[in-house]
Amino acid sequence: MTDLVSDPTTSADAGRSNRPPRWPLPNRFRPGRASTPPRSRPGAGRIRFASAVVAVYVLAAVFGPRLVQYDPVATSTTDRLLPPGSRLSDGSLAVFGTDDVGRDLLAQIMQGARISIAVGVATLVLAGLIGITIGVLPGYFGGWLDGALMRLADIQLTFPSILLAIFIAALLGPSVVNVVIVLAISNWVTFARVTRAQVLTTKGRDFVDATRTLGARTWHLLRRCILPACTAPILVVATVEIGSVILAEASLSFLGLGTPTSTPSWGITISNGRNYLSDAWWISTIPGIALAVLVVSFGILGDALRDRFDPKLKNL
Amino acid sequence: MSASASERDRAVTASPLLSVRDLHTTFPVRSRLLRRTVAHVQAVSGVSFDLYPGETLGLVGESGSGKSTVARTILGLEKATAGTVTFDGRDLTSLSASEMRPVRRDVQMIFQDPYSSLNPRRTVEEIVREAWEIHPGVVPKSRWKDEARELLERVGLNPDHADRYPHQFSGGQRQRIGIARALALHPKLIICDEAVSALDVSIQAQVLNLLQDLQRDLGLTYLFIAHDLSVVRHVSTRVAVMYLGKIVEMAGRREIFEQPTHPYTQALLSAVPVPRPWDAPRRAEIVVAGDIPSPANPPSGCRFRTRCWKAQPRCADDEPALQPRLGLHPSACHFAEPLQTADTAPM
Amino acid sequence: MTGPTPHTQAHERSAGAPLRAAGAPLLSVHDLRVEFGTRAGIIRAVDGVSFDVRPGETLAILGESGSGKSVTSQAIMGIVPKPAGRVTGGQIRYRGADLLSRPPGEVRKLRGTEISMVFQDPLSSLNPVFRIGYQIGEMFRRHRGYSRRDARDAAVELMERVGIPAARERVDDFPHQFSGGMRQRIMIAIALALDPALLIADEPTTALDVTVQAQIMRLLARLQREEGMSMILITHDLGVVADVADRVLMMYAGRVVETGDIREVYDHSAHPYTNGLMASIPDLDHPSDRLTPISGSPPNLLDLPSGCSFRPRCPHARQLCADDDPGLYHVGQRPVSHLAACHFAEEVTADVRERI
Repeated sequence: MTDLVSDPTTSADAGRSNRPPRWPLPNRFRPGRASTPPRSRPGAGRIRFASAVVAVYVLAAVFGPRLVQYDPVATSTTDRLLPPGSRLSDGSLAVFGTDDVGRDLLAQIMQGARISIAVGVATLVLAGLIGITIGVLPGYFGGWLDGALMRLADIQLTFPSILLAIFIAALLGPSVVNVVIVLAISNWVTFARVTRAQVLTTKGRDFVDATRTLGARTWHLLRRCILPACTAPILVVATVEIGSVILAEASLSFLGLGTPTSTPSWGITISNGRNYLSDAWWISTIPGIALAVLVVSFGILGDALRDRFDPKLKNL
Repeated sequence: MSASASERDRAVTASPLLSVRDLHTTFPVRSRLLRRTVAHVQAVSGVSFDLYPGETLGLVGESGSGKSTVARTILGLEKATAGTVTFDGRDLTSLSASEMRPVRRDVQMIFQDPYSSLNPRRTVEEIVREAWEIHPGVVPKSRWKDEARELLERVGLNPDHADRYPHQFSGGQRQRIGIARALALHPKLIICDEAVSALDVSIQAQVLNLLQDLQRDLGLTYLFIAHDLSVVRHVSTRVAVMYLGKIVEMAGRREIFEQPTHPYTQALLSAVPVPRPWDAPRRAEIVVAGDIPSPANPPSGCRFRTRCWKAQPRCADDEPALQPRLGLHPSACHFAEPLQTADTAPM
Repeated sequence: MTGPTPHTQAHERSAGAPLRAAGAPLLSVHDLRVEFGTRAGIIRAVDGVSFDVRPGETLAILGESGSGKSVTSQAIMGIVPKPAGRVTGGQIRYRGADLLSRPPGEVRKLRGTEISMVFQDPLSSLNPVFRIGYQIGEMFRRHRGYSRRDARDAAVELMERVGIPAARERVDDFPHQFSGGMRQRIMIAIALALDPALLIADEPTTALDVTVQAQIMRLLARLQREEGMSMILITHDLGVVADVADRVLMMYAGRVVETGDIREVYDHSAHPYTNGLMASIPDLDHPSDRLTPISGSPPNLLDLPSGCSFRPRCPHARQLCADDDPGLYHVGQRPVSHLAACHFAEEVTADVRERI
């Protein structure tokens, strides 16, 4: 993650790092303007901290389920509702305790992380593909299609996205794939708007005209000039959005409209623990904390990347 | 006088490389809400000129004169509303995008802003060789690296810096990269749109000399668009002065600078700051009043009349044609006349 | 404040050279230093600059991008961009009082009333949502306690004085309804509202067309004559100020390389940079086939050469220039002040004589 935040700015003629800037250089970073030198890299500490937290989750999601076995249908009545730190009947330690049918909560949370992150990434890829396509093509060509799609986006934005998701999820029924589809439909708009705005500013820049005068075809222009300029803001949007997607997935699952009960996503675990809040607080609380920490970390990371790459996106 | 006469003789014998006839470019002004066209901005309205091989035509004017739109229309970056642009015998305004592609090889442009005209994400070599990717067959792929290095050397850059990115160069060096890109396809005509106006004076002279060397060595033809008359006088063989979408005066460079007959040209020349005014020959002190009118609603008749001290009722009704006057060069003024001396000039 | 300053050096090196006699300076900048912190290192944007502005005088500060000319004016106005930039040394004395050591409130008041400034881009300096009359009148309301009606009348009067036609009808227009030249006149009107003793104009005509540029320069010259104020004109264009300025200060890489009466400096330039700039400009009246540019690239402020900063681009450079940083010292025999920071000033002047 940290590689993507390599320094976009190089001051004056000095510090000639030989790598491409990741972002069209704003005025104040142009070389030879000694009167307005760049400030120090914004948000380096926040980026490092948040990426470390996210990395722990990713590692847990990838390797955790291999280390701690989890069986969704296994029940063990003797191990029901054990508090964190208890010994199980088979002698192993339940760090986070067990749930109402005696399943280990740590194993469940790590399995849940796998689902949450997988759903989050898959949703972003799908929403990104839809959004970028809708943002680039009409944004570049303009015309009535551009107007129509942007009005559609405006209309969708006036809808609370979770309400829309609940509506579609109720139609499609619970499954992991359906959750991805539902969330992608309610999240493409942000990608489309950011991409379109970036396409419009880039389109007017001289180097695009210069490439046109060389005789470049549209595809060449999009691939070489327009899309590379969009990567940085799209990455920022993706980071900001992934937290809300994961949260939305948990909400849907909590409501019974998300992943099926056999897949232990965080929302389902939290929902299961709801009835035991008074005598087994940990079943809902620990996955809740896991969810909150991940979402907040993505939020911090997204904010920091946005400050670094494009302060203009502030009211995203 | 003799110099400009011989310039004209040569011009008659050769056939023009580029011939622009009665070119019009208008932009619609749309209302915000319904996107209806509510007005037209006449950026270029009826411009005609010829450009002969090997010469430099300076196109001078202030902002709003439409000089950059002329360039963009020739290159097909804007669509002409009327008129023809004939290059090497073909009318470019009637060509489709794919028919235009081979013509692109012959007509290239150097942009004003050395910062925004280079793709910040590509190395200098990638920028220079992009033209060869678009036009396969000009330079074989195996030669790309060497050719790019040669081009960089040609424009005075260190070829070892080919793998650097534009932001690692100064403004003057970046403008040289832009020149190298324009040269990559071995064009016949290069349009320089304010190519040196963003540069510091000391660097501007370097780039002007480079452009002159390239013209001499490669036989290039330039359409040199600028607002700085000192620079235009330095590089041009002929000069056309534009005001509000029209050419008001056109002549060989000596004639237009020494015997301007259009009041606007005279005012423009009088306003040029010279570094050592105490040593300069006394020039007429003309300060024109007011600002250039909006091209969405130009004055009737002569477009300069609202700021002209010679304006008569006739100027509002009868648009003066751009035609040779007083046995001199073409000038679009009913009362065209060279300034006699500084003392008789109007204040 | 350590080490000899350019001015004291000047006196040491040319004891007895007559300085033009004049009254006490209005503004006296002494050994000013401004630094900018960047990730790549510290930039000395202004490095030991000293000059005086006398009452009623027009001083032109000339230089290319990165020369420190604008930062100098920002330091005088107390608007050096923070936190990257800071004034690290020197004095800015206005009527004898050092602006850098006075309490900020007092200095701010002075800068609003006695010293005012006109910027390059009039559109971004005007507030787009307020009417022009209101913005001009604000100075009178805030500092003079005028009523709204009086302030509006005063605004109309000022607009007429800076040559805005139909001032009374246009006083309620918004900034975007004016052309660039008219907006610059409005900025000048605001700057003149409180009868400042010193007007600083930073590239006031760079964004304007040639004919409008001539109008604005004439306006500034006329106002300066009428008001008897002092003016600092900051520009990169040697020609623009030639008719207006009394003296020039030529800057390169944060330092003053040459200063003196404008005709003296332009006609007998004693620094190779000044000389090179003059040769770089195409001459409208005596066109030549080829220009003589200054070779090389603009200075990299993060990595300036030892000794004289101009050395790598200088045709006169020798070993001495790398070893010893030339201070400003008097050149020429004429009884006018003319200082240059070059070891081979005599040689340069001789070259110039040949060129002309």
